[in-house]
Amino acid sequence: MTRPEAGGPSGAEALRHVRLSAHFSACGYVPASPPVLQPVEPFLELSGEDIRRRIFVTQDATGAELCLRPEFTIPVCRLHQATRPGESADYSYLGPVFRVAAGEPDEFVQGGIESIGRTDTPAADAEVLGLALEGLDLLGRSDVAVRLGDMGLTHAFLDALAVPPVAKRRTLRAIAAGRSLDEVANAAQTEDRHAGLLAAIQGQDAGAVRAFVEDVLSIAGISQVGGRSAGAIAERFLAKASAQAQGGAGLNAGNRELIERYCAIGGDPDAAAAAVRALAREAGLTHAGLDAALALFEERTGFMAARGLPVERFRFSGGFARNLDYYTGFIFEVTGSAGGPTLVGGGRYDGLLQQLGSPVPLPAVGCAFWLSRCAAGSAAESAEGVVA
Amino acid sequence: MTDQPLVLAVPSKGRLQENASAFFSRAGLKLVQKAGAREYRGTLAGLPGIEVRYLSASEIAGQLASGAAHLGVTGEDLIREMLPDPAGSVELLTPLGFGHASVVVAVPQAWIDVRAMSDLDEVASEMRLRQGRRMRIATKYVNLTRRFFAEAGIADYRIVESLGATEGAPAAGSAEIIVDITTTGTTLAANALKILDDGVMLRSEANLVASLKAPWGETARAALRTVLGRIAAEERARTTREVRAGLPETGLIDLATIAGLHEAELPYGAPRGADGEIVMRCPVDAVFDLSDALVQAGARAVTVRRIDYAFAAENPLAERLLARL
Repeated sequence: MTRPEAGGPSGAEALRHVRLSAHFSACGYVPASPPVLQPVEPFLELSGEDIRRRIFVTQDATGAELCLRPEFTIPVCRLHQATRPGESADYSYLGPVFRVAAGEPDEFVQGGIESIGRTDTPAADAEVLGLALEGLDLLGRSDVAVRLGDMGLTHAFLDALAVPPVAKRRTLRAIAAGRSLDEVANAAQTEDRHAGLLAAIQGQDAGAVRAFVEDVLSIAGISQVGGRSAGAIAERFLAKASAQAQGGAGLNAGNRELIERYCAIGGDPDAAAAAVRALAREAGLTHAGLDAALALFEERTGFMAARGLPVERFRFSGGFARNLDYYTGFIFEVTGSAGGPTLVGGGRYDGLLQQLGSPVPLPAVGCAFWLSRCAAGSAAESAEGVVA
Repeated sequence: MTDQPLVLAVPSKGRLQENASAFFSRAGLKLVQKAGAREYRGTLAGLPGIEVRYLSASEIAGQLASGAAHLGVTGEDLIREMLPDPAGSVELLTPLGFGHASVVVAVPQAWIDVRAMSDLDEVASEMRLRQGRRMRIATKYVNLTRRFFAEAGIADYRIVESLGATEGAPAAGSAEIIVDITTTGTTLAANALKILDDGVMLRSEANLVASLKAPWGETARAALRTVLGRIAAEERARTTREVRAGLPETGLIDLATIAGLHEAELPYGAPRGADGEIVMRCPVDAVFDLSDALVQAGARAVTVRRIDYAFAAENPLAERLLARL
């Protein structure tokens, strides 16, 4: 078995890494060194069971599951929560992370920044993107492509369409995974053993029917099964009945079409904001949350421009979404100008600190550099330069 | 390459062992356990160059993956669960017709609103949104579960590893639903669980499995040809019948057409001379049609026999494996 091993940065590369760290420090991002061994729980809770196959899991003497950190954001936030709970702070980091990867080394160096607690959201978003591009410049990668997304805007758009919570979550997940909305959309009616009963109880008094279903379950000796109460089961059973009458509990055709059109919106941030507004107007959506999200979006673009970032060269994509239990607002990724793997990825995760136990909401935003990719890319490009 | 013997791993206990022994002895391969039932090694009677090891079904899957065993009898469920890359490390040579079981997703019967994986997706998302936690699945099939749920697009769940009595987990409160192996579904029903309509992840049975990672030296390859040759001869014999008949009085019969119509062959060629005997072989299912056709064509004394073994120069099982080594 051959396994690609991390070669460790070369002398010149290590020097670049030091310059990157120094730049972050100079900008007020204090170096943080969270432990390599982390409890596995937060990673699974926030990214889902599926990441278990991509992380290295081990156990301590008591049998508690630990993992080698697969990234820095959760470790840095845990460190913050343990040492300065509820406060604001800006951190930078640099060190090895560990992921089971096919064809790439399982251990590689990541650097990055996390800004915790700032409430001037659009300015902080723009600052993190600005530092990402400055950092890439220091690493010799100035010829890059920037892709922007906004989970907050996408959430607001679905809310404005009044997509029910469960369907909304499944829609976001399908978008993030790049899957079609078929699985969320209402399928053709399937054969249901309860179809006759469901038809019979439609239009009956909802409270009475619910009491009846609860009674039936309690006759069977069931009060709480598999973490769901008889009431919850009855409620969904009835919801299914009424949804069946209306064509299903998923996305209806109209909403699906609007969401697909939203996802297809692309272009520079100003053009994209105009397109979202136009789509909302056409669909007759009036929703305070959507207006607020659009205002925040445009304010952020303003801060980027004020920072001197080439906003007109950034590309927003309505269909760009990431891990929905994690990112809550602005997200971005930077690749080489010709595409290829992500060099820097980042975004806003306003819910994370609370999920890790913070008693007060603490907004946060940050980004991570895939340093070995930055080096590999620059080496390849300079080699090409010699040939040319 | 080292020239070590072929290691054949067979189940060490229970019905799986009995069935495996019966399978091998049908193929004329007699497992001989060394002195005393405690001995975990053995041989195949009359066949040097083969070492038999008695192991648990999951150990067999592990040894096939690592290459410590060349051939083994184990369940497809274990191969798919335990090996990160089944296609790249083993070859499933042939299903053995025993050890049937299915790996299924089962939920409490009281969940009258849940019938399919799509319902489960909604319930899981609802738990995550309302209770702020993920639905828990008790199972020992961690990898199969992860793969199946990823294909179904379900992400809001956690796996609780269970190493026994998985079916009791929902009642005990350690998980909401389970993924487990079942043969008849009785145990699930007894624990007030039901299988989802589209919740069958894998229909498994015992398989003869070859390792692609084992050291296949000359001795092992020669032993492989012998073992698979006998297995193929038995299988060929079991699935075909020999049909014999005397030539019609006229001596006129179009055997080639009759054979072509009934998937039959003439293993010894056409009869020579007027008093020759017709010998054909055909699949079990085609026996009566072929016999009728022969009678219609005037053939005399049509008889059908079972065959014990049918050896052939070509050995499809071995060729398929050797091509991959």
